[in-house]
Amino acid sequence: MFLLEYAVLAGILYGLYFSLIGIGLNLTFGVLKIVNLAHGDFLMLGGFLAYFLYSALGLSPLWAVPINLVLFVALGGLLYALLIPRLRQSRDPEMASFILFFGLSQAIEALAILAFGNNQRSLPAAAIGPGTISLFGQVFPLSWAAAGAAGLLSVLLLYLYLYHTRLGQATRAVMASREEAVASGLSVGRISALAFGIGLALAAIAGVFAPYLLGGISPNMGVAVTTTSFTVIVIGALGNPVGTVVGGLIYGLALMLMETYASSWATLLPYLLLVITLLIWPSGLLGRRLRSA
Amino acid sequence: MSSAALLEVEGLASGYGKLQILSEISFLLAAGQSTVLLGPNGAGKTTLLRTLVGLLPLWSGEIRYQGRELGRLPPEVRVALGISFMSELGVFPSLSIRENLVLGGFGLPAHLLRRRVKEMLDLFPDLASRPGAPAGSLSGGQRKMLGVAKALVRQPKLLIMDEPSAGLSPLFVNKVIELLRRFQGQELALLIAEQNVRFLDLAEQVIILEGGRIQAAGPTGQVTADDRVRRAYFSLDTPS
Ligand SMILES: Nc1ncnc2c1ncn2[C@@H]1O[C@H](COP(=O)(O)OP(=O)(O)OP(=O)(O)O)[C@@H](O)[C@H]1O
Ligand SMILES: [Mg+2]
Repeated sequence: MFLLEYAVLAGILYGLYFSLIGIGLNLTFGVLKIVNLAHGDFLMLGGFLAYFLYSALGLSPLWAVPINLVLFVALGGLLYALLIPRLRQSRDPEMASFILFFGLSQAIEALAILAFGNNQRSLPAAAIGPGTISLFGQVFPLSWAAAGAAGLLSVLLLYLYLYHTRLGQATRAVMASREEAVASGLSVGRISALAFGIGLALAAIAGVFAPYLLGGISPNMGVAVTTTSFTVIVIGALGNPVGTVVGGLIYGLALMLMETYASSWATLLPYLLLVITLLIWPSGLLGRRLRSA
Repeated sequence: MSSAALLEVEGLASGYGKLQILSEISFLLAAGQSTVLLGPNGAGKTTLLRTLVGLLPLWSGEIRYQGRELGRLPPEVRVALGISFMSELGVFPSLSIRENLVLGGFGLPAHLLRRRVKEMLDLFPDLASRPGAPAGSLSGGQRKMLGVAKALVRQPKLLIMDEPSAGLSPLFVNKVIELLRRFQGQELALLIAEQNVRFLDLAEQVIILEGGRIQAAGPTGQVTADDRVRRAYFSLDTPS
């Protein structure tokens, strides 16, 4: 019973963190209808920024959260302007986007290996704050709680942005129909560039906690993270950022339960969940109803 | 007609990729005047409207709006200048009625936008009864109403509509026509692509498009009196 309670609580903390990992990918997918195959690589970059803030400047890795936000929204705007208009002119934009973002992922990984070396880095637990935290009688590392809180807060803020600001409403309009949004006179390019930047920033912010929750950061972690993110958003509902929370929580709970009771299977989890979801609920647990809401 | 042309189109050509659809399209729209663009399926009506709004590139020719060359301006600038477009879809189905109206006035100052949205809701009791409901939950006719309301939030000088009658029962077609009549004249010019000749009741001018070219154009009475046109479009109707 004790073990189960621990697994469930840890699953929720991890689940909120997995929502954070996936939500940016889902936002990008919703707005641009492309899968950013370099998503995990941006998470990795955000993680390295936190790592160097701590190891080179002695700052708390948490400072990387606001820095990543600003930095990656800007980077996203730049990348969007550089890549997307060209993509739209191509004969088969969907296929071209896969190739382009796969290439981008490879390029980031290669550059990161050159810059940081090909080994795994981690941060001492103390970097984020002292020791542990007790939740409902169970003791967890403070970093887990911080990651869970960051996940929850990010989802809430994104929800407020999408549903209670003009720009957010316009973003949902682009998700609903890009064509209609252009016809309605929305500045679709600028709205999409911002959404793309926010998507990258959310990944980079998730990267800050990767040394603690994903067991470290290394230049070649991107592909695995992208697979996990994709699983999370497919479980929830593709194209509906808020639905990502459901996917994240299911993923986190499943992971913790498996690590507790069948740990040798845990590495297969993303693929298992992905296959099961696609077979049983092809449009995600939240299905069509919320898909583009 | 009126010397104050709102929209002047001259020698317009356009198409998709390398495929040319429209050639040598020229016509004038006067301020406050209503024009119906008539033509069979595939004539190029949608293509023409999308080119005017900037959703498709202008290959050659000129589009002048209030004397200003529009040809290279992006859609959002054309909309901001006072050209609203109601596509066949017309609304964002997953967004609420109120959100649709708000988006229709995207970029207007907040206080003005709030007032305009309220005015629209006052004009459309069907929409006002549940402004939080998703537009996709409306009936086809109500959705067209919302599309019209959304396009009018900005108080455009020119409202371009693509087949507002598509998918509507005759009763709803009458309702849409009645609705448009209310906004007609004064400041608003209409350009409506239609196959339903009922819309000619609204029009001062008719343009007939076939195979990507203008076959006939002129004051409604004159064009509809033409024998060829009558055979093609009014086989069941008698001209009034
Ligand atoms: N996206 C597209 N790509 C290539 N060709 C197209 C495209 N859309 C339309 N066409 C072609 O352009 C021509 C004109 O189409 P358009 O949609 O403008 O006709 P329309 O008058 O609006 O017809 P309808 O009354 O059926 O709506 C047609 O021959 C059509 O096949
Ligand atoms: Mg058409």
